[in-house]
Amino acid sequence: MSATFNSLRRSLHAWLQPVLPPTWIIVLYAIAMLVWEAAAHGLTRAFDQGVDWREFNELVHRPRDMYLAIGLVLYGFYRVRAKHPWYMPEYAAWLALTSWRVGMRLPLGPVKIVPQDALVLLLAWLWTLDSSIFTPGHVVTLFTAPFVIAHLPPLGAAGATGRVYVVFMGLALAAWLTPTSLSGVPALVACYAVVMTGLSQSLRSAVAGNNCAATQFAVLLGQKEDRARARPLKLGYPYPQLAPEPPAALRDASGTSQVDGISMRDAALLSATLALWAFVIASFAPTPPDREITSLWMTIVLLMVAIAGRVAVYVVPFQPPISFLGRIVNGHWLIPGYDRVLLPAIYAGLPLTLFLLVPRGESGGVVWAAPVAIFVGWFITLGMRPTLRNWALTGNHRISTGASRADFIEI
Amino acid sequence: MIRLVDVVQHYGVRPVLRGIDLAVPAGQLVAVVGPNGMGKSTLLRVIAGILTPQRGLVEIDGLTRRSSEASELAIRRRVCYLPDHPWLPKRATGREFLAAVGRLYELDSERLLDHIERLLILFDLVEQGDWVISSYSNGQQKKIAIASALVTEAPVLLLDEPFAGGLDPSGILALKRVLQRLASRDDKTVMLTTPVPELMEEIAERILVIGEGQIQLDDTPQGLRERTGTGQLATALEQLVYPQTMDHIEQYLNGQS
Repeated sequence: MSATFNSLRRSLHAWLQPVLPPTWIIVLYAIAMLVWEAAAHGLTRAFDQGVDWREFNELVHRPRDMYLAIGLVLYGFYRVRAKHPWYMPEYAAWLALTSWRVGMRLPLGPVKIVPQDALVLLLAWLWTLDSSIFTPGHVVTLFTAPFVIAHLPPLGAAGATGRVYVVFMGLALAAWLTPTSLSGVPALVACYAVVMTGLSQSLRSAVAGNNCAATQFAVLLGQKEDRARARPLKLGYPYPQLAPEPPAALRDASGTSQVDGISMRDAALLSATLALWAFVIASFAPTPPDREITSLWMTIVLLMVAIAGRVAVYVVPFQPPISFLGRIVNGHWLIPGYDRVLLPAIYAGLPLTLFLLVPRGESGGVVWAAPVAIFVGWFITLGMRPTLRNWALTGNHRISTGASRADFIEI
Repeated sequence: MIRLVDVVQHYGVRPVLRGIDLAVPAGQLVAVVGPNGMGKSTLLRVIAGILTPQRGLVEIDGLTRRSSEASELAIRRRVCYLPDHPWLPKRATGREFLAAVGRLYELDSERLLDHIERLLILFDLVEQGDWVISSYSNGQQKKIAIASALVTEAPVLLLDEPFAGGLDPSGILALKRVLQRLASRDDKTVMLTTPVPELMEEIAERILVIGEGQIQLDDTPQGLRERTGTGQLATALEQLVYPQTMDHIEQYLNGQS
């Protein structure tokens, strides 16, 4: 009997091993959970008499539900973060040297949702059976959303930006639908499906390219062993500002200012994503007046950020050819070759102005006008010509040395 | 070939360059001299593309600066500009820095590595080549900056005050000889600024004297000497560029104001 049990245990462990976090993390999580449960149980016994059980149950289980929710979110991120080679440059470099090819099983574990994940979710759902607020939809959402989100950086780095925006919009839809029912789950499943259609591309890019984005991300995460290899060599002044267009592989390393502009398709998708998320976030507000206020402030802030961002990106490295005083004294009120760069920021102010004129009140006009204004404003600031590349090369500006000289010596 | 047509440049109220017309054929070494603040560095910045003139145009090998993406990129491949105060990466070694600059100009790897070694030998930096630049002395930093301009192999070199900044006599000698050779044999165009006329004596084929934002004199060293009837270029330039300086010295030494 014992031998059969041990054999079963070993088989189950071997089956689950590719998806589960290291044992010490599971043990730590379980101990913390048990401590909480024991404390809650002890409190229940200590106050056996004269306690409103329903109220106490709420007090005990809400933090417990929160604990489980955090666990599911972390597990969702972990499943991709610890298995996708994009997050581990050395793993990617090693894979590139082996006979591994896209489509084959990944040595450290799968980056797709597998039956083992379903078992973990089933256990989580069983745990929440007595919860008054947790539904199966919550369990699926809390795992799948971070799982899908963790796939987006490698997908974006592989050039599949269209899929990234579509997934963000799908997540907004899921967030909008989930609070009321299970209906957000199909949207999440659709997001997962979109991510999976780009999985081969993201794995191929991460392994074959061992791309710079991965190594830079590793630096952000503080992986010291990758630091020396990953740090791009910034050249200071004036080489990045004046150099011929560097090869694509060197573009990040050179710190060049010749950034390719965002495409019209990406500008439209990014603007639509922001608009949709703003609408969804506003819809979480409990009452219509709250929704109106949330929409109003989000629109103002998002459009101001868009306008300020556009001006900063185009004006800080490429300054006016003459000073403001020089313009006045010399009668150059307008310098068409330079001032054209400010037009998108001015045009983006138009939807903001029109939005502020929308009457407030019962009609809910502000709530519906907000995403439209955000979309139009962001689309103008992101998509309107000149592109940054064109501006850098042909604008009537004065090239500046750069904002920070922390990494450089000026001789 | 560098060509400037009616270039006017001002940062603010006072014009720094006023109606500059200039043509520098390929393979010529031109020295721009003049008192401080008269527009030498601005002239180089306009040619380098750091500044856009308020009026006029700049052409390099028949291509107009900033006229289109393609022509601007083509010009950038032909031109290397080294300002008087470049920024060097603190944590990179000299070799890494030179290699990164060379790769930016899309040079063949083997040729680039060979050139880097020759430059390090030229400027006595072989040992320091593997040190981080922040550990260099001022003179060594100047040398590595000059080496970075030379490593690009650009047909047009624009060097602002290359002989300043603590360069030692061997560095000055090396730079003079290399620039001379690049212009005379390799057909490269070199424009440099310097406040020290003696350095131009041996190498410059042509000297531009800038004053009040205009080219006041444009001649060969021999032509300048003949204008003043002096045997030394330095003396000729003292008379032409700094005519009041001797008076000021006399006034100071005699205690006059």
